[in-house]
Amino acid sequence: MMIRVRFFAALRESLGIDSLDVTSAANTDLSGLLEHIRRTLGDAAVAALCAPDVRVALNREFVVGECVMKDGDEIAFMPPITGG
Amino acid sequence: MLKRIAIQADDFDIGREWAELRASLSGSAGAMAAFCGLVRDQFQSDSVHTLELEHYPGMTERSIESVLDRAATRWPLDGLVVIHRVGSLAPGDQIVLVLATSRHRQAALDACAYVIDLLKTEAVFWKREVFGSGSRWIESTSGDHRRAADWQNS
Repeated sequence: MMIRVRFFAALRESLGIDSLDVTSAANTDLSGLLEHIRRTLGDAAVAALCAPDVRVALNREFVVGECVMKDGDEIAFMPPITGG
Repeated sequence: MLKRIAIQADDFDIGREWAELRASLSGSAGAMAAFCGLVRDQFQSDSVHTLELEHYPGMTERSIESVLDRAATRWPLDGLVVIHRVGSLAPGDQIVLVLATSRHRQAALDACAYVIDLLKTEAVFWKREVFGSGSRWIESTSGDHRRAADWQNS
């Protein structure tokens, strides 16, 4: 299945990429997704994505803790928002 | 309740937004309140050349809608409008507009203040200030969080 991964703001700049399409097995969770990202972008990228102030959204809803993805889902990694 | 959220790169015309909201109201509304935020030319001790705003299409609108929905449960409102700009803005530019209408003035004024205060901490935007010597991503301030918390507790 295919998952679209998006990076925003300072994360997008530090990773040098705004999105990534990951092909993975069905029912991939966040940990599994990070392993795919590690193979593509490296350890430093995963460390940046796992920073305590980075929030994760699945299909534009914040998630806390783990989540399981399905084909076509969009996962976003977001540094702290500035607000309006 | 009328609810309008727009995220746009273009500037907005407060007079036109005001007139459109007013024209949509039934006779019950007795008050309209407005807040317009502008880009400041100073951040801490640095002169800001431009302010760059990034958003997450779809999620940003959803984060604003959540604030408007909560405002509508607190006050008897006839309409709420939020227009927020993204992209590259210069000092003095309009950045955000909030309009609130209600039967009575206090509800319109309070709802307007509530919406802008919560947008400061909840709306999904990232801002980067560009100076002569470089740029930096900024975060919402402790004052922003305090005002948002005050509304949660009131």
